[in-house]
Amino acid sequence: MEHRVASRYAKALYQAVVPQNLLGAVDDDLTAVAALIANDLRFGPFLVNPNIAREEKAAILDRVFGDRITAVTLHFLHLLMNKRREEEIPLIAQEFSRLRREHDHVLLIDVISASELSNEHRQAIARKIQTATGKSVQAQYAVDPALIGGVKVVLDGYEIDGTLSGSLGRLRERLLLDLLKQN
Amino acid sequence: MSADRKPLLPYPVTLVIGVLLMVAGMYVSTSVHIAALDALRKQGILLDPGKTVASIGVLIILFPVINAFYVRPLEDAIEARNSQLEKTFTEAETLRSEMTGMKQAYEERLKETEANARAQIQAQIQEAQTLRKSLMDDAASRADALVKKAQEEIAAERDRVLADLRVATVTLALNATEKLLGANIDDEKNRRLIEEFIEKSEVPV
Repeated sequence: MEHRVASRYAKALYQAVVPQNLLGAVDDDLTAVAALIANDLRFGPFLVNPNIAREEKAAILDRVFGDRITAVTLHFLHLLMNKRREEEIPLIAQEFSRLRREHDHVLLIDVISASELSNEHRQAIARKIQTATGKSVQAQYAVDPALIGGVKVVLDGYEIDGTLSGSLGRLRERLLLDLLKQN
Repeated sequence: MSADRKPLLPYPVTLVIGVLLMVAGMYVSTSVHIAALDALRKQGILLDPGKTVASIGVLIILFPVINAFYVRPLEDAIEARNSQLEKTFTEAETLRSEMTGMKQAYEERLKETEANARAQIQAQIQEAQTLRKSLMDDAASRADALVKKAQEEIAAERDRVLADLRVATVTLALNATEKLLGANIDDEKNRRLIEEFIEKSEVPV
């Protein structure tokens, strides 16, 4: 439900800013605001506190973001406050980023490896994905020692698993399936 | 009963006869001398026919009185007693007949009851035997079912334990493998894995 609401707001904003060529700027603004909500222990609760008047919230927003984000983004944040949709800002930011990537033909991928990847490997992975999909690649890298060795790529709901833990997991599932079939 | 007896003569007649005999006897005793009696008197036999006749006359006079006040009540009492005894005997006989009849009836009923009891006992015995057989069969079938169920449960439990054992074995083996891999992986091997991934992995389009 919340995702559908966030999707509607994000789509409306997207349709409003594309003609103005502000897609990148608004996306950066929303990403920054969402990051502030996620990281600042006071700003997030302040924004969703129903006991604080809208005017006071608007004044604070103007003071904090007035000279840092575009007028469209600021106006959009005011609109969300008037509609009591402050809690949706992180989801709207995510959805808007997805729309932006779609617009720019950019594919977001998560690359998770057992140890830090070299630049050479990073570029090789991005190049392989880019060649296969025909889209630009925006990669997010993470390290998970539990993978033991190898690398795993997550894109568009798919997972390409080349890790040792993944292989062991598949082996485990296959063995257990065989055992179940025996029973 | 005494009323049925009629005297031979009416009492006034017998009274007159008695008085006449009494007077005549006294007269003979006091006034008439009978020579034949002297010889008897000499022999010690004091016979006086006059007094004897007078006594008979007195007896004839008194006999109805004695008969009325003593003999007849006595006869009536004896008659009543006899009647009572006869009645009692009759009742006793009747009771005896009734008792005999009742005894026969009781004996017949007793025989009938015994026959019924025997029949009922036989029927109950047969029913009990049937019930016993039914219960035995039921118990046997239940026991068989329980044994079968227990065997199935044992088999299922055995299979489950074996499956758990196999799963535990697989888990242990894979955990050991995971630890071995973790201990043996180095940068070179990791690099080769990554390069193999880049070379061979298929990207969904």
